[in-house]
Amino acid sequence: MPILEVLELAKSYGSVVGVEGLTLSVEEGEIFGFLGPNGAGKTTTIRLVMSLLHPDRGSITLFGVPLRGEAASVRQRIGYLPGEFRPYVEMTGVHFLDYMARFRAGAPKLRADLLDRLELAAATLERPIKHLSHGNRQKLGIVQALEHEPDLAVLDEPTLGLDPLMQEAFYDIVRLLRERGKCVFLSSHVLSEVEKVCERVAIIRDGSLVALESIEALKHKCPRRLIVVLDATVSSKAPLLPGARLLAQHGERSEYRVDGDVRAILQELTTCPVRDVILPEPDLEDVFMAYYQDGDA
Amino acid sequence: MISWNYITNIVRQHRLFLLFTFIFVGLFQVLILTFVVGADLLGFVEQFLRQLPSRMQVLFGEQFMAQLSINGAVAFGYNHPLVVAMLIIVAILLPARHIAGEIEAGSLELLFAMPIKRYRIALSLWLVAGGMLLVAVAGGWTGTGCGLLLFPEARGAPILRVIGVGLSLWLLVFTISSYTMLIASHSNEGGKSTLRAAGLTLVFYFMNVAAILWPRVDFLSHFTIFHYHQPQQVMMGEPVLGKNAAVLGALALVCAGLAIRQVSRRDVPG
Repeated sequence: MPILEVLELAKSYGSVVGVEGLTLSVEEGEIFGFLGPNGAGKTTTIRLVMSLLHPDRGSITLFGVPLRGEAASVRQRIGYLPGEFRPYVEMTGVHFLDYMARFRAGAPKLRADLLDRLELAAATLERPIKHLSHGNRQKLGIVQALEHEPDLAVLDEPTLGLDPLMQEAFYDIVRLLRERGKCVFLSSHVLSEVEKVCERVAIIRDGSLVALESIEALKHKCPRRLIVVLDATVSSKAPLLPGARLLAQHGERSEYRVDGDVRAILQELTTCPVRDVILPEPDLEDVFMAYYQDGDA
Repeated sequence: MISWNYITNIVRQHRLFLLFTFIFVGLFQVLILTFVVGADLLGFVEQFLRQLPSRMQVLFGEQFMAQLSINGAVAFGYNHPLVVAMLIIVAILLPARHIAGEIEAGSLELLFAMPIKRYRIALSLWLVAGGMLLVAVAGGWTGTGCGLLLFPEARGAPILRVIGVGLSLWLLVFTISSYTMLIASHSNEGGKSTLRAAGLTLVFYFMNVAAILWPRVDFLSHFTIFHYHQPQQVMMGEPVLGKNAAVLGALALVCAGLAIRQVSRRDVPG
């Protein structure tokens, strides 16, 4: 059973489209990446899932229960970190965590572990939040979202303001949640972090979904770069390759874009005076750029 | 139905201001009684009032003369612009800050993502605002009580009417708090909600003054909330409290109901 199912979701702000016809589902125990640049509709989607906004059309199902109205009881199983985490700044860190935790049933069983992993010391938590750095506030946000070990964690740009070490600590936390069978819906525009921790990703553009697949499948579909280094003593003319488009040539080095199967190309290359062939593994950035530069992959 | 966690947090945030208001309103009542009991001002005030234009005499004359009695002084303490203004500040700031202000600050987003129905938050806010205003009015009752104990001449003041006049003031400010909540429930900015609610309150106030000054527009008095707070009449034993309480109470309930509905249904922008 999908933990989260979104069907034909639409939300507009006057004439501005927030999301349009969005359909996706997140399975149990999955770390799901939600990618898109600022303004693509990620935060609108998340706010719709959290019932902070009401959809114009479409439906959302959480844990098999159609989301109608507020569905406060369903939120017992959800942890939420907004894209712009703005807590009660007059409170101390520990007071804020206690206050939020009291709205939930049960003890915040992961708090000590999360504080330890994110290196939030007791002395830091005793200070008013307004005196905390942006990074420490973000850590506080992560702790309040995850301390009750939610079945679904909805995290909007969770590593914003975290230093690289803390980002790694956060990825470990996400992996820990996966090991425990929890589901994470991770919105980000940092492609490397999505690639590190997510199994599947959805890419959203102008409020519409343009891709929804496993990272491996996306990479496979993505146009790849092929670099051919010619033996200049024989020929310096870039060969014509089937299914490949020449992008640039710098001396003996030619760069192609390959949209389909590479086997025919490799076969063709065996007949050319080639010194080296470089076929880099596409990363998520290539996939992302392909969707955003070309319109579709 | 309500959230004690939320209520406790609101009280904790405003406890110092609430204590200040309690003491301020209380001391004011003691001061008023001290003023009336400690000096023979009747002749002086009569002379002074004769110097005023006739319309001003209408506005202030009857009230002032009545206030120079013990009952009048007690009533005056619950109708003095300073006391009313102080309580109106509490009445407006609480809902404006905790609905529109928190939407603006982003903290309400976190609260609405918790497993608690929004109407419980809104209802709790309405009730805690009412409770805090009642505590502030209780400061007045405490002050009046202290004044009556301090000045044996004042002991004739009927306690039930003192309580009634305090309740009348409480209903007035609770109504203001309720319509502020309705205004804030439609807004995303605390400052704007505060200004709108304060503006509406000022309009009501000036409508009341106009209705007193100009008989031609005295029909306006029925449409202003200040007309339904009549401490002099309550202290003089006139049976106005029931009707006034019904009007203000109904208005407060309708505004709160609409505000709670709006808070439950509205979008919370980022």
